[in-house]
Amino acid sequence: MRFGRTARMAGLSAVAAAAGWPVLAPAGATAQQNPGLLTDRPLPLPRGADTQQSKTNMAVEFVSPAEVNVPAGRAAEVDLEFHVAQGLHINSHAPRDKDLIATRLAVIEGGGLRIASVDFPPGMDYSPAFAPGDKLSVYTGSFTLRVHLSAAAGEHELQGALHYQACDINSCRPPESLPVMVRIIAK
Amino acid sequence: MKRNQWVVAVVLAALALMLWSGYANYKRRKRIAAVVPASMGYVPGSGGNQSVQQDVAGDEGLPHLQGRLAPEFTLQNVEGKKVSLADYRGKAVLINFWATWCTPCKIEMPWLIALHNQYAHEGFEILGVSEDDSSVTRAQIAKFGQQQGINYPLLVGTDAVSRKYGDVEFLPTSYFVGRDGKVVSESAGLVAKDQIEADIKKALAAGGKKAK
Repeated sequence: MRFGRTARMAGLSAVAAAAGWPVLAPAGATAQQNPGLLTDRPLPLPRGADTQQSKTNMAVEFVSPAEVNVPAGRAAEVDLEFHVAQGLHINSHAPRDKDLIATRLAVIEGGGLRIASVDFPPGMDYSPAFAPGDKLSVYTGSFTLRVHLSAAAGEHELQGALHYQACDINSCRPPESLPVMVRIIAK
Repeated sequence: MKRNQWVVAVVLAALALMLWSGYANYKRRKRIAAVVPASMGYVPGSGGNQSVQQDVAGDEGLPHLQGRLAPEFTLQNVEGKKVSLADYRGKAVLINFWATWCTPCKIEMPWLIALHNQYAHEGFEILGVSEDDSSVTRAQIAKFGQQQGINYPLLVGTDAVSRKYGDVEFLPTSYFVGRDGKVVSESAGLVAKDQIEADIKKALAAGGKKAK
């Protein structure tokens, strides 16, 4: 499997539509400067993505929620909780090195669901054992993204993908795209 | 006269800054080399290597090519010229898979540069195969290589070549190929410079006639 070019996938169908997906908060912007700016920049699409990729092999798991109630036609917030596998870290949304791959969220809009922005938490400082003088900005363990949205009355599906790149203490894994799906019930 | 004094002062300050920068860089590299123990990284067949990576990843990602002929490939280098592994038959070759976003890869690059300098005259070559996706251009890879001071060929990887080498699940991943074209050692993840050098020596000693 080729790094980046063939990103690891868990369920290709949701992400295959990513070519036209907006990316929330472009790489390089900090959460403080640009909390979830909606742009037209697409996620890099995996080439020949592995549809059989086991979800258990992915570095990050989408924990919750599966379903959420929001007030119809009004601004609402939905917190998406993720968990990074033990022993791994992923770059935060605002890595300090321009060469590193930032964590981003891509979503599909439409059908009465509007995404205003996404807030990314600040990264934790992390100094790898092999470079104790360096400080990376990473997410480890659990972290939460706050999605600001509005939905027309009815049921909607918030579909998207978390794009990230994980490393452990001495090696890095290919970029991965984790599908995210939340049922939004607007009343 | 006054102007000359200013010029001399500026030149001296620049020289001092360059010296300090070089020394700081040297100290940093020494410190990193000291911190990374020989046990870091997953080196199949070497025994005794324990690392978090092993705990997390097991032995996936390495096709266990040791003792077999290294899979043949032809790739473009960053200048756009075709480079084949076969071009280096008779030499010891380190095939090093890396990416611009891979921090451990950047750590080992100065070691690879130094080892290349040290052993090139004995018939040793490094082929750095970039695993970046297509959004990173050849020119960007070349620029990255220049910034790192890389003195060995940088090649633009493909899916097909990655598959031949077990899909390259972790970076950096290295294959040490003897003069006879057979893989003598392989490693995934950052390993100590001493370990890399030992594997280079093993590749140089393995089979075939010397080619320089």
